[in-house]
Amino acid sequence: MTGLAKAYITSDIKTQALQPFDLAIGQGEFVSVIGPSGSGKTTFLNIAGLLENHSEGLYELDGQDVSKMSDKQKSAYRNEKIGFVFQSFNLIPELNLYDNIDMPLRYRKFNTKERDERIMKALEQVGLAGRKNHYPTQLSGGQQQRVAIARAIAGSPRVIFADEPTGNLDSKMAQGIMTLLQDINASGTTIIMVTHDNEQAQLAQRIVQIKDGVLSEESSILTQAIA
Amino acid sequence: MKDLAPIIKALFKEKLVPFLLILQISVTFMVMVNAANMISEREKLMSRPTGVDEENAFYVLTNLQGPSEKFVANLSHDLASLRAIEGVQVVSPLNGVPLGLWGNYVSVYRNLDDEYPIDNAGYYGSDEHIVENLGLNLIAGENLALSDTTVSMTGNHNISSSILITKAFAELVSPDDWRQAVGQTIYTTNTPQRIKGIVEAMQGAWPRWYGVNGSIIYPVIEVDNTIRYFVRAEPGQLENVMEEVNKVLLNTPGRVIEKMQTMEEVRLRAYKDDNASSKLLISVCVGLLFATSLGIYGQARFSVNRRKRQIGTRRALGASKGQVMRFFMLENAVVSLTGLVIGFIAALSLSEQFAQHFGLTPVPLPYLLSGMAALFVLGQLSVSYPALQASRVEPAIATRSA
Ligand SMILES: Nc1ncnc2c1ncn2[C@@H]1O[C@H](COP(=O)(O)OP(=O)(O)OP(=O)(O)O)[C@@H](O)[C@H]1O
Ligand SMILES: [Mg+2]
Repeated sequence: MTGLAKAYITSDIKTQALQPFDLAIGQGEFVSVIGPSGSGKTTFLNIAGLLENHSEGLYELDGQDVSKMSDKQKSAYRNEKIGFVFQSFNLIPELNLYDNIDMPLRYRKFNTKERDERIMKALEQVGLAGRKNHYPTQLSGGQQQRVAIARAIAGSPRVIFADEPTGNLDSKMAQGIMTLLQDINASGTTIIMVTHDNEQAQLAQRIVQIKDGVLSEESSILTQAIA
Repeated sequence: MKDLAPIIKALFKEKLVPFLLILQISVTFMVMVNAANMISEREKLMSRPTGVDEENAFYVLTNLQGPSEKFVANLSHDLASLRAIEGVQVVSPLNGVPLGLWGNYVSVYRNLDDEYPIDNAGYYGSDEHIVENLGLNLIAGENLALSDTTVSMTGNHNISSSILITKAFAELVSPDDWRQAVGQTIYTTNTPQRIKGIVEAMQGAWPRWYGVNGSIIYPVIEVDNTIRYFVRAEPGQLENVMEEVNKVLLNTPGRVIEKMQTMEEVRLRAYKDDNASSKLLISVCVGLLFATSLGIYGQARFSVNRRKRQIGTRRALGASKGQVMRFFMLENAVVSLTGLVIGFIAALSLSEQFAQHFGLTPVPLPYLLSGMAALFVLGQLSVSYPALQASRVEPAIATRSA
């Protein structure tokens, strides 16, 4: 990302949500994004995750200029290479856990058997294989977020974007989710996570701080220890 | 189609809303196809030919001034002066007009002392030119001749003559082969009548009467105080001729013109109620279709709004705009098809009830199938705009609204 910036323009009011910044993130990294409320963290994440367009600068993803990708190409890219974990889980209430995880897989060229294997493997990884026929409302928040993580990893993405994944959870459940994310990262998946929690942020290799739309990077305790 | 299985599962889970829509679609379908069938049955009924060439034709109901000794002379005078009018093609004296709602019928017997008649028949009386003048179609036997014609003040059915009958009545006289009716003798009011020829059709006075197609034509000019003249004008001259006929008739002192109607008006009046109820049925159907279409649209709008976050999530997780649109179209297709299948069964059983109790023809299969197709297309059209809106939901909504 070079000179990337984002401005929202709504009825004559221009909100400069992100000031121009440069940032490069490599495969397999675990990056935390911290900052006060309204500082632009979600905006950053949405742009990085191809959910929103940037208004200035260059964003290259896998060497590809994102601004030249069509909506369809971006959808396909999100579907195959990106996993999302949301603060409020965003599971589909009408579908059981199995079908929730199946949902993004159905847009891919997997056959039924391969989908089934992926779904079951993901459910096992988050420890909920026994509840595949349950519906989201029958689960606790922590369990729902585990399902959402299973949904994110079932398609073997290269990167997972998580916007305050533990924001709606108590600290014990949050602990479990963090461990899960670390495990996923350990197997090579890049993770970019927005958080309010400084302690959680310290678990990452890199910490990006955003204040009033201005990005800065501080090194985490982890990197300091390695160095 | 990738979403089909989860859509069906989700609909089962949701129950109420899909159920109501399914109910609405099936009821609409059931009413619509049965109404369409009724309308088309009625159209068929209304399009039966009277047998008379109705184009450019009208009749006038007037009086022959008495005393009765002068009836015949007055009739001849009228005919001569009417035929002299420019633009008049033919003039026939006639005791009633097809579908005129006022007319005559008589019981027809095979033998003189039979207890039961063959059936009742509407009857007409005119001169020997009736076939040509009214544009009837003689399909068996011979036409009437001058020697057949009589003039009477007492009615037609009690004067022994050579008569014409319609094919529909010939089929009653000679059920095995209607042509064999030619030459047979039948009895009306204890008077023998020899069947000289058969015309294809000449309907009686009442369109809803069971015997409307079985008629008898006597070569008897009935002179009475009242008389009807059937007049055919040259093409394009109808209005002028009617005006002129009115003028010429009124030249005779003491003349009263009771009625003057084109055959087109006669037909319209005869089928007024049928036309009105067809229109009512059509408006009911249009109303139902509108309500169903609105129901589908409204439900889809509501569901898109309610599921904005879910749609955003689907988009975020990789569904393209087209896939989101197809999702809603497919969901509606499942609901519509379920409603149509239930409606199909309901329509069949309603149609059977109608057939049993009101003698209607059951709804034919092509009606059912094309009705299903039409309603399905209407449903998909109704859902297309909400589906398009759904496809425009931003994927970023997944991270935004809490
Ligand atoms: N669609 C939008 N239109 C206009 N302004 C917006 C829009 N989305 C976000 N903003 C503004 O952009 C700025 C950054 O918002 P953003 O959601 O990225 O902050 P955040 O750091 O994620 O906050 P929080 O910690 O509360 O989630 C805010 O001032 C916000 O009001
Ligand atoms: Mg945020």
